[in-house]
Amino acid sequence: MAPEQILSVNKLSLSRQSGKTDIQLVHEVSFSIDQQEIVGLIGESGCGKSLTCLSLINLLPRIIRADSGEIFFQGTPLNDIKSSMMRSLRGKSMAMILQNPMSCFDSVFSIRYHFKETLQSHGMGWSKNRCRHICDALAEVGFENPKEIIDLYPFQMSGGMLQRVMIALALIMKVALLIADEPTTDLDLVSQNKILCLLAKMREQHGMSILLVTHDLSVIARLADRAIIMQQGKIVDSGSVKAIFAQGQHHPYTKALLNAHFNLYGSHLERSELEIC
Amino acid sequence: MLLFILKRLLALIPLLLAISVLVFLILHFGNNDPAMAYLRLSHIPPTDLALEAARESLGLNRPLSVQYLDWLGKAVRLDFGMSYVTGKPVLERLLYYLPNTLYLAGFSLMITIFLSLPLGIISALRKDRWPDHLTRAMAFVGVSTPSFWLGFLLVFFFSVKLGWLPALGKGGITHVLMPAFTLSLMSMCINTRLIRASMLEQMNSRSVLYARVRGIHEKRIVGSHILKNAMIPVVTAIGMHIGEMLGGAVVVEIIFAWPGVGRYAVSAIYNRDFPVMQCFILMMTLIFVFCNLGVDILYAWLDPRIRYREGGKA
Amino acid sequence: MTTFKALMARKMNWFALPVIMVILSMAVLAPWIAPHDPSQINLEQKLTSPDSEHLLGTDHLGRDILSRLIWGARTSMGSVFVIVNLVMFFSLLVGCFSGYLGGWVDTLLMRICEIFLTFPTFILAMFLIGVLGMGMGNVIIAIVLTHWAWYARIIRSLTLSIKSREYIMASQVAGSSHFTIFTRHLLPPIMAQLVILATLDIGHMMLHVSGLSFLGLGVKAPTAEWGVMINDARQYIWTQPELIFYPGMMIFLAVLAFNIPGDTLRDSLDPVIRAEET
Repeated sequence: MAPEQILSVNKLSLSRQSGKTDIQLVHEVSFSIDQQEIVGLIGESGCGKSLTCLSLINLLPRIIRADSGEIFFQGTPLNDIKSSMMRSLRGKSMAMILQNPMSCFDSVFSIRYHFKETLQSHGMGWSKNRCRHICDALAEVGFENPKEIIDLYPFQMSGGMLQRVMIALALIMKVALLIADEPTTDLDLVSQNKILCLLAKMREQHGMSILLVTHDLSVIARLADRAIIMQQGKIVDSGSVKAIFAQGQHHPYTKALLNAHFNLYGSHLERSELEIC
Repeated sequence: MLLFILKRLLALIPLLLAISVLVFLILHFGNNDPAMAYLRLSHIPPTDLALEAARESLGLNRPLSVQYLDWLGKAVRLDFGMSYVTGKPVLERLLYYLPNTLYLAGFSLMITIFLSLPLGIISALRKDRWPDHLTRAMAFVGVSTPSFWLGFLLVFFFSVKLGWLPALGKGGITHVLMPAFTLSLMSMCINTRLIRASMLEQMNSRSVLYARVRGIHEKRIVGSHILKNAMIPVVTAIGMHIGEMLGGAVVVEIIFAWPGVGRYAVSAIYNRDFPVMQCFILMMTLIFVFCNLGVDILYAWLDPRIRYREGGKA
Repeated sequence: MTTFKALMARKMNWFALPVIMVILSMAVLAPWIAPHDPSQINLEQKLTSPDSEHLLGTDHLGRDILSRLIWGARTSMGSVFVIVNLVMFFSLLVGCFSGYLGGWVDTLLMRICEIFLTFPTFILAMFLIGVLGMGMGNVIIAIVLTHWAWYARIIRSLTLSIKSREYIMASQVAGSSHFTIFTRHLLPPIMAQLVILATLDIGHMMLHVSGLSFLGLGVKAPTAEWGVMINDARQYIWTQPELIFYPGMMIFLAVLAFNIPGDTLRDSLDPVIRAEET
């Protein structure tokens, strides 16, 4: 049986109005993600990766318009659904982890509160059992003392720790799709490694599909099954990671990326196994 | 939290001492002549001999530091001297009028908060639509209005023309409405603009985005994330409003013949009654300082980062 | 966008700037444009209605109201002008020294600032006038003494932020004297910010000046000043309310007119709002 298609994006176009003209930000982007697949979306800063992610969950900034395109999530079209339905999908079926996690958490509320409001917004009550579930989720993402973490405030934790809390929030809701927007960009090497291992674990043990957005080809090399390469709002290349890394006909931008990667890291495809974590 | 409060209270002591030094120095280097005032009150003609004798008996020839310590000692025992006009203890009189001023200022603060809060919030939530434009225009006009003009305008409309409200004095609630509103206008307008700006900043913050990403209900986002964070700078501003009101009360009391300390202090200035003036400024500053302390504590209670930074428990 | 263009872009300034010009003209040209001597008492003509000779009528001492309003502009603007300059001078001095020299000088000066800022502003001004005596000169001194500390602190943090920039360090390494660094690198940006801050505060200071004058602590009779005119007219609120209305209106218009471009300037310095407007 063919793997279920979790996400399907068809000819998505986004633009912004500047003065009297329209600036095209994303142009007819199409891709899909299957169940338990990790798809990497790579491109330089400003090429439209983050906007594409935000449009998937319908949280584009007001000045950005979606001109055309269809988005299907688990077979359901997302284009014209009611906003209350969209809201209930967010965080429960599709989760997103953002870069610079320190600015994403609300420093006047504890970690416990963040979990509580997420659970309560999706109709899951708050009880002693929930506390245990949260501690389990936190342990799952690598915290040794979840009971201590739960009472901390965000400003008392590091970026890497908060990134893991974000993953725990996705885990506890048992999301089907996790959109990771540059999850390793602001982190040190050790934390980067931890996060990437964690993402692999989410796919292996919890069946999540992951859209991994990054500007770092080595992250793709390590984790993704397929890669999509964007440049200036357009998809210029895509395919399995093996195919991308193999020598062959590629788009000039892809070639440039590969060359840069090989110059920095050497010429083989690094595959992370769980043992490295 | 308790540790935080304790630390703040301790830090107050050197500040209060410094204030007392400054007040004493200003008093001393001004045109204050207690010897002259003493002679006047005792109906003794101010000949040079009499002045010298008075100076000696009042201890005015002693070194400054000794005089200061003496003055401070008396102040701590709540002895602020006798009025140059009545010869009676100064503190008594001021304490008699003080509750009226506090009542007026308190009422104004209530008006400020209860009017600026909804106006600022609505203005932010309906940004760039007509409620926003109207509120911003009113706030702007309000900030530019002199209270001593507004007071009279209100008296003209509501007392002279309409006869709805009494123009002068203290009495029931109808008496306090116009004075309190006049006093609150400046702070209310500043606060409305502050709340609006604060809310807008929060509405565009990343933590609000992340809350939406997690699927939190919009009402909950506004009610807890946006409002709670937006109120933090507003709470801090309350201290500033109190200062504004303590000063503004003086003018309002004059306009409406409100029997408060401000009015008494102005007449003291006309009469060059230095003991009253000095007690007045110390009293009002003390009230201001403690109100600010209260605001600081409230701020620390709302924002765990402050408690944590100052070494208390988060 | 130059400052002037930024100002012109906002429609509100089309109202504000001409009003400012009118008031400044009144202040400067008062001796020539006032129809009567503002201090001339004429008890036979007291409290008259507007007519061809007295366009706005006369006050309780028979003085021409219009002339008193015009001369009042001179008093108000003159005193505010002096106050702003003195505040800028002292705060610049203290703030720059404090920030540039650092160490115990900085700590001492900032502690002094802190003490001044602990008092409620208006009450401190009243106390100073009480001690120094009434009169416009003392009002000016009082307002300067109550406002300098706030500016000094801002100047100090500006100095600190500029001081730590690389070109200062480069300049020091290259052997420039303290004086050169001060005048060439520090003063220009600080002055620019200071002027803007002071402009924003003109309205506020005018309210304090006229407020203190209203209380009778300012100018001595018969000098014309808007706050004093309101005080004089208090008892006539039932019969001639316009006597209160005119001077109050002048204060209101002046403060409003100065606040509008001040607001625009503040917005044009705020990059978030600038981005929103493009």
